[in-house]
Amino acid sequence: MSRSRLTGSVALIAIALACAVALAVTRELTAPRIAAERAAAANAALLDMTGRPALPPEAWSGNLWHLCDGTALMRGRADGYAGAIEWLLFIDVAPASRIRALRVIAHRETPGIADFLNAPGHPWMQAFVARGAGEPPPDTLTGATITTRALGQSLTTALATATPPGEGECP
Amino acid sequence: MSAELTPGISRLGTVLTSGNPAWTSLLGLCPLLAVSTSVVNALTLAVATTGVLLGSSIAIATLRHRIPEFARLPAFVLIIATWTTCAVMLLEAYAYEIYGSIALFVQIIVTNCIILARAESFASRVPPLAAARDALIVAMGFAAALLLLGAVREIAGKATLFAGMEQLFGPAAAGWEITVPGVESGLLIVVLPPGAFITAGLLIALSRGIAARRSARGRRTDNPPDAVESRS
Repeated sequence: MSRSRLTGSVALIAIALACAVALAVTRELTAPRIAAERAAAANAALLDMTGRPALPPEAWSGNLWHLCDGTALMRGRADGYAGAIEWLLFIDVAPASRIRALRVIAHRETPGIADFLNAPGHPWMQAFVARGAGEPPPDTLTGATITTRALGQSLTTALATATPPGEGECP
Repeated sequence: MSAELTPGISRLGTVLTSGNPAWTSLLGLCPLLAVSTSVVNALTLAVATTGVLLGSSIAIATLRHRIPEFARLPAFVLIIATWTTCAVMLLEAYAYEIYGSIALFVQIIVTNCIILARAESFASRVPPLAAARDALIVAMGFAAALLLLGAVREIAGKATLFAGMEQLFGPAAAGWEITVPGVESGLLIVVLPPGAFITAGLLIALSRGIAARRSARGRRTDNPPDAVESRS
């Protein structure tokens, strides 16, 4: 290897190291805030769905969390167009499961096409409210066929698996 | 090249209208078309792109004597990718809601050819201050193209303007939304990818039209501009 190539390679390695340090520092500075933002967003979604000022301590058993007043929270993910669509449901469990509210908390669907996932008030998202177990999901949306079909099927399947609280689960 | 070495107000005027790199050389089409569905998305990407372009240009100009000639492209991409990743992390930390809807396209700023083109043709040959000035001018041109496309597509496609600005500016911005009166919903095709190409095509035609008119006017050099104005 010629001398200029050697010094060039050393310079390139030095640049790479400097970039790595810059990334590590930025990550170190932003990580706590990102974690807090994520937790706050999930918590805000839960409170907004249930319409309560506060929730009892977290008690997920699998993907179901009984609030012990005939309602429960469910969580899950649908296999969307561009990866997982993570959702939360607020449901009535007894006597028959029925959706009370729906929130999508994370997704990577196409911006502009699937923006309605971020808007709980969108007519398609509202169409899930009051749907019971065994009922079909709302019609798919033109332009977002895969997204809407995936989320609809995922919610319908999950709702059918919601069971009332077991012995001792609700004191 | 000579035009690039005379930066300043006149250069900014050219970049914002007829000489916009987004329209003349069709660089950066991918993010330009994908994110321009609304003004708030366009504005966020414009801010992120400006940060990455400015940071990379200054870094590359500072290191220009150290970057080996045979490995200059990998070095440029490495620096641009670092700035892009930092921008993604900062966006997630400080604008979480909007990050959720356009994260994918902020990540691909690294493949925006406008940034690599400025690094190769300008920032790697001049001192940091000149590189920073050039980066700002080019970023403003890209931002103008992005915002114009975003505004046209939001009005025609969704019949709103400035919807969702509270995601970027806090609750005070919730009232900024303007709806087109008498229209219930926009033309879906304008928001979908084909609409991006159609709208961009019309804006390119407009930009070319301005350039053609300007060069035609420039040929009549013996007339003062005012006289040309009154005659036309």
